[in-house]
Amino acid sequence: MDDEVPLLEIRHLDKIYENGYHADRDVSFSIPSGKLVGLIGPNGCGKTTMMRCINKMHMLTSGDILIDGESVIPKTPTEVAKLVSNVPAEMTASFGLTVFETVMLGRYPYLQNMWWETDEDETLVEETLEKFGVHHLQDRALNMLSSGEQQRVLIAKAYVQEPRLMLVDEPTSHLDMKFKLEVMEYLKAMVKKDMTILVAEHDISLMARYCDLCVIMKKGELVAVGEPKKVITPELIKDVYGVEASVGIDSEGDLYVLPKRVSITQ
Amino acid sequence: MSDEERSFRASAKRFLDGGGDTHMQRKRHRMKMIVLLGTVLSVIMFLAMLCIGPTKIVDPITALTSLFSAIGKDGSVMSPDEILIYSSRTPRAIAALAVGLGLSVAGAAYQAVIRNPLVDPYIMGVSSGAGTLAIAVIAFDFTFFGLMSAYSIYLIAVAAIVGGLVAFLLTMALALRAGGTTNAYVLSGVVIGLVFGAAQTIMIVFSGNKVSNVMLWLFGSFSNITWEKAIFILIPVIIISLFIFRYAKEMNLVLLGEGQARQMGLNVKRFNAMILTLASIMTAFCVAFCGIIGFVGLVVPHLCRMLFGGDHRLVLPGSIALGGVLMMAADLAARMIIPGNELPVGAITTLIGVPVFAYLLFIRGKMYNG
Repeated sequence: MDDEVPLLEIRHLDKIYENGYHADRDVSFSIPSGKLVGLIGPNGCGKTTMMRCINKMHMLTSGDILIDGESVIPKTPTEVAKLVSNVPAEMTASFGLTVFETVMLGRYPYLQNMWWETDEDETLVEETLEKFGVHHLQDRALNMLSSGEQQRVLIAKAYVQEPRLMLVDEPTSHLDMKFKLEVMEYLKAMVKKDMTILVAEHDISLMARYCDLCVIMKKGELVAVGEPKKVITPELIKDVYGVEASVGIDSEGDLYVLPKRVSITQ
Repeated sequence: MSDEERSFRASAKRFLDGGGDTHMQRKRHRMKMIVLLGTVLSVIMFLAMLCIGPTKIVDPITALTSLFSAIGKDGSVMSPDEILIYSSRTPRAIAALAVGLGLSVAGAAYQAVIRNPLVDPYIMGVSSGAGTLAIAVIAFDFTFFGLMSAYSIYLIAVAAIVGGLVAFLLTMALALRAGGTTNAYVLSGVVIGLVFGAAQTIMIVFSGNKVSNVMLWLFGSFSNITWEKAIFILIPVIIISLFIFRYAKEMNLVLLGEGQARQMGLNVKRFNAMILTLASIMTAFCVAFCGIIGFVGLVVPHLCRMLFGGDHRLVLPGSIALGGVLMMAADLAARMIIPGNELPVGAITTLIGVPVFAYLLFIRGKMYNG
């Protein structure tokens, strides 16, 4: 496995915003293809900034980001869009588009000079809608769906973009327990040999249950990369979040994290 | 919903969609129907504009023969019919078509880019800026400090275009300084509009006996349209509309929000600025001679969304097709409802438009929930 080219390789990533805020400091790691990877860390630890650097929404200050061994920096936005797709944490209000049309927008980077999408595009979208259990909603307006359904539609849109890497930012932040699990099941089912999914998420137990690998960050720096059971320890939680927690294994062999009470007086 | 209504809607859908198996086949069929219906309705309304007027109603054959014989004459003496059809009614029909089309396309473009269904072509302050300078010309004989002749037919038009674009540029500058978000555009447009609106109010107070001329312009009207003026509006409107139409796919994309559109490979800031600029230039040309005609630019795009769906590859051609037709119909009504008195066409567009729109909102309004 070591001599394989990693799907995503981040080399000495530094990102300093114009206002001087140093969001990511010398972050380096690589992840192989075909994994569900959890990106964990407190608010403001540089997760979202790193994701935005990966799909070139932000320019990095220094370092390099490689996908399949090729730097994304010289690539055009359309080239990047064919490699990396992204699911936002929240859907901004849109009007007038149906679920089908929204998912079809995922084919935009491939349309080039065509006016209408092809039959192949349509078949792919139909299959994807089926796969995500939203086929029956395809003619509905997007903003009439429940938040769990909207999230699935946005993931479906990112999926038909046929990326090598899908970035998912806090997909479950507005969802209840069941929808959370459903979204993670869909993500897990989507991972295939040639696609890796990078999920930023606060629920560590959820990440440990579903992810093949965890990337853990704190204050813009990388803390650990590895299998959840190997890297998630009470010491790590204490270090990263400043919180005492018990980390255990449940009867099915899944890891869980149970934080303890904290003092709010300084 | 009653059974008749349901079956009516089903057959309307079949009519628009054809028998296509896939979404794209159905959309392509819709597109053909829009082009076909748009062309047929435009030709019919155009002919009606030539035939019907308060002075005289002529049959279509007479109207067309008078029009073509007048075109053939090239300057020599015309018969009364030829003067009526060629010199008066034809340019008026062209202007109504162009203004309706231009305002509708501009409205659709603004709504998509600003991602707000309540936006109309005047949101960027164009109407109030145009109105302010136009009033300066009408009431105070403003001649751009002597740069233009006080007798030029283009004086009010140039004033309106310059005023509209100045207000637009101020709005853009303010909105971009405020971060270029969609809310920044709307808020900037509103405050810049208020400033120019206040200037207008003050000028109207001091306009004395010219107040009726001012109000006539502000209400919007297609009287006094000549061939030169009609062509002056038509050419930029056609060019800009077709140019905007090319970007229909991108307009769908920006509906998802700036972040999503950017990560799909679109330079959103540049795209938004380009579309807003073009739509504002087009709006300025639309108000130049005919004044401010409300409602069309807000409603026609929504009418198209409700009839043809929200895909801008259908909304934009739909707006092109229906905008002109509805404006011609409104102008016809404005001239004919009260014999001998021409009503402001803007009032008519609103009076006809609201019931139709209310009905569509009633049956399709859920698409705007959220």
